[in-house]
Amino acid sequence: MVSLFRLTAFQSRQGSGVHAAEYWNLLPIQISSYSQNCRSASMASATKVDLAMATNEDQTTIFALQGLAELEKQFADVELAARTSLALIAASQC
Amino acid sequence: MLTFPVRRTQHNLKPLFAKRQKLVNQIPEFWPNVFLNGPEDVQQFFSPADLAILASIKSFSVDRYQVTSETEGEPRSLRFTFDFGKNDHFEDKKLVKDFEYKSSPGGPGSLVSKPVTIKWRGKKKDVTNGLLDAACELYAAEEAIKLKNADGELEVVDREALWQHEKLREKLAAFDEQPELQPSFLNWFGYRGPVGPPSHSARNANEEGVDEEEDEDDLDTGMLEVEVFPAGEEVAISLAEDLWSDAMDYFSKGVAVNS
Repeated sequence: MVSLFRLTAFQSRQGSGVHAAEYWNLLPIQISSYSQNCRSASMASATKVDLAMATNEDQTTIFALQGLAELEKQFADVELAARTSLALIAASQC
Repeated sequence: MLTFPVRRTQHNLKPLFAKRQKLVNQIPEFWPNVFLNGPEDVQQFFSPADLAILASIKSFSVDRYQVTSETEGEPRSLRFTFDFGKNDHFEDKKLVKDFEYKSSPGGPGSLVSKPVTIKWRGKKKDVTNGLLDAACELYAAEEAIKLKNADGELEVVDREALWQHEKLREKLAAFDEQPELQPSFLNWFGYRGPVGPPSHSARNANEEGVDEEEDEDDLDTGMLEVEVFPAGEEVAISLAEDLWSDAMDYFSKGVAVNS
């Protein structure tokens, strides 16, 4: 197997602080969700992270994950529009 | 009619996927995690020897390359681009595999593709055991014959008459006789799909009056006897519509499992 993702190592690192650990536990779950509320909660949680404790590489990853969470809403909007179009077409064929 | 909303959606998603790509490329080992936790339809084809190669994927993208606007282009044609870091098996830093959608009257159509050559670091490093190279040789031989036909009227080649066809057929048979060998996912780069004329065996069967319905599947195959990755189309679709679209979900799944 590929080596474990470095976030896991960061999460388990001694002295990382409870907020950082919570953040890592939460974020992957929030990213997989299209819920606006969950996304906001994730972002709120992220502000608690003490970025000073993270390495430069970890900080880059944090910012990338935050950016991905922001993108989710835009993906959801396009997908919703697509589903609506398909539903309208299906309805017109009935 | 359903092509239009699909095309429009894909066109609108392109800039979002481009933004996503920039972000995920900043996350270490993002794509290896996605592939190794990806859809079962894809994972089932990974051999142990493939894992080190998959671990060296630096970037991966899927492009509906024929879509040029909301109203133009075939959204079912796909381009897969793999960027690799250094690995022990091959020299290539980038591999690009295109699948072109071909419609068929009365059918759903299919994806056809050209085999992609990989520059192995040596015969022993070739995880496909020579199958991919042989598939590429056969394709090159067919193309050479088409080029010789200056008027360009030759659309299909009688590939079964080529020695490269026999070589590939024998390699496939020899591979099947060695149960200790596992087929590699990298064979997918050799997929061609239903291109060219039906095989001799299928034609003969039809001429001899075999039940048409019973033999229907064989008549469209063309490549099936020497296809190095028969499930190539299904894997391409799963890569595009599951692994690529839901990459964040597969990545998260990997992080959760590792935690």
